[in-house]
Amino acid sequence: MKSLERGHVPNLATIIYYSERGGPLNRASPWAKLLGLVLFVVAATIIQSALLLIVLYILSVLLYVLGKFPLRKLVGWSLFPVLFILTISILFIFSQPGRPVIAVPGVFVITDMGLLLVVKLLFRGLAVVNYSLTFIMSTRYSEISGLADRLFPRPFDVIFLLTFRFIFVVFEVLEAALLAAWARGGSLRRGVTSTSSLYAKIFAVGVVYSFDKAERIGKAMEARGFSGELRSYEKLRSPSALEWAILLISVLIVVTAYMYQGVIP
Amino acid sequence: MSSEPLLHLDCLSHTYSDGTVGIHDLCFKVFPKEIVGVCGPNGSGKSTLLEHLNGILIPSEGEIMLEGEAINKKNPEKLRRSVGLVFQDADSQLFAPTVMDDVMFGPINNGMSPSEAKSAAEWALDLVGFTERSKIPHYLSGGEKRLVAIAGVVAMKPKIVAVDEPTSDLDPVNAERIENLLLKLRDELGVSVVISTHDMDLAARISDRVYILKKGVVLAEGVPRDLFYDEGLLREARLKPPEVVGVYKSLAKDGVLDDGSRPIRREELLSLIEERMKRQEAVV
Repeated sequence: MKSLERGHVPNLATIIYYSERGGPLNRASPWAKLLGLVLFVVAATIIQSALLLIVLYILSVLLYVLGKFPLRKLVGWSLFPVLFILTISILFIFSQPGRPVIAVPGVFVITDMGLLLVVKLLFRGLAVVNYSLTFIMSTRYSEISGLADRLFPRPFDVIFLLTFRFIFVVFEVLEAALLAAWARGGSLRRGVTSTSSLYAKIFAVGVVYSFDKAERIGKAMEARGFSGELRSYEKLRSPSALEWAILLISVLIVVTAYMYQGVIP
Repeated sequence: MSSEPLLHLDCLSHTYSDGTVGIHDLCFKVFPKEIVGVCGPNGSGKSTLLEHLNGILIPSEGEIMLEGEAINKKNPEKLRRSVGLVFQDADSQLFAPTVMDDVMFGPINNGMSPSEAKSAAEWALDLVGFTERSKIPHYLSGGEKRLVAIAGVVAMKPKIVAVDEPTSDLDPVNAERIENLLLKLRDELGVSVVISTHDMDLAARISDRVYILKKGVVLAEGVPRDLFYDEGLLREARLKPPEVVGVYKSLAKDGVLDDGSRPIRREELLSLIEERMKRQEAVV
């Protein structure tokens, strides 16, 4: 549990370390990986079959492993998405029709369809989270800025890139705050509910500190000539014939799965 | 030293939006190829002054002249190209994913092509003596971060480099490394350096001229040898004299050294003591 606690926030340094090294997926075209991300999001959105969503999740884990990224970290990073999805789905779990599975008469009824909804949301969300992590851990920041530069018009590309950096600033600040809390005895081991006020405070302070840090970073960028325009100098490699073939086959599989999902549970 | 200043801040005042006076009616000059020390206690306006040098802060009153040309809200980029600013907190300056990306950031903003920016970054990293280009800034030690932060500014080839608290929070070895680098900038590249510090020993060792600030006002300006032997001035500024000055004064008080030469650096004091010992031996 201790390792889970210490590693449930994606760490910028770790992500950069993997994105800058030459792993198997790092050599793939950033365009191909981005199209793969779009395909993953589309697949996770249109597929309704729980079994197919589990297959999609397993595929996302396999891709992550193929990239030679640490599986243990992925387990840690999954904690927050899982908590988030459970928090969202708990609102709908009691209102689903179906065969009762857990029931407290007069208080609540959880049906098989309600549980299935949770399972679907979990695997749908985690598949996209896993592939997103695989994407950013296998794509250098300069490539991501190159993609943003070509995809979005000014100033949206700059807004996108600064937002991307800001997310990691928030993560860094949160990580530091969590470590400081753990150093003084705060822990998830005592249960999320009993320490929820501590974590709420850390989150609130984290956001405030992040803005402060982001302001200082912005000031330092301005001092080095930044005038609202981030210039990209990365030449992006187009997908190879093999990458196009893999993408095409993947599209066909997603379309087929969508069309025939009625016959799969 | 040239008689024409590279940079001239004429009667500058800055009041923050909450009403705090950062600096008031402050005059400041930087000449070519010199190291200027800005000394003062916490809250004396050192950082506010440095942020004006680079155009990050716009003065509420007063004028900034760069090589005789007035700088205003319309042309702050001229100031940013000529004056590089290294912040005290290197963590806030290093934002790019790798050392190389970060050092290339300034040159790219200055309009260099990617290949030119890469050459400039390579040159600056060689100059500061940092070889690991693909390292993640987050994982660097405090001293390495400071070196990379300076390289990020030097790569832009400014005429003046302003460094806020260059050796604060550094161990003695890294502090010495930074100190030597600042001297190298002046002596080998002919760049003027402005340092803000409350480390009086550092200011005494490397500064050609010193400004002493208190509550946003210049209390005194001059060569370290004059200012650091002025007890009343240092007391008023709430600063302690450099260690060498303290030792010399004690020895002078005891009558061991009393030639009035006012050493400011350790080697000057040591040579005085050596001379004195030789003279004593000769007498014996």
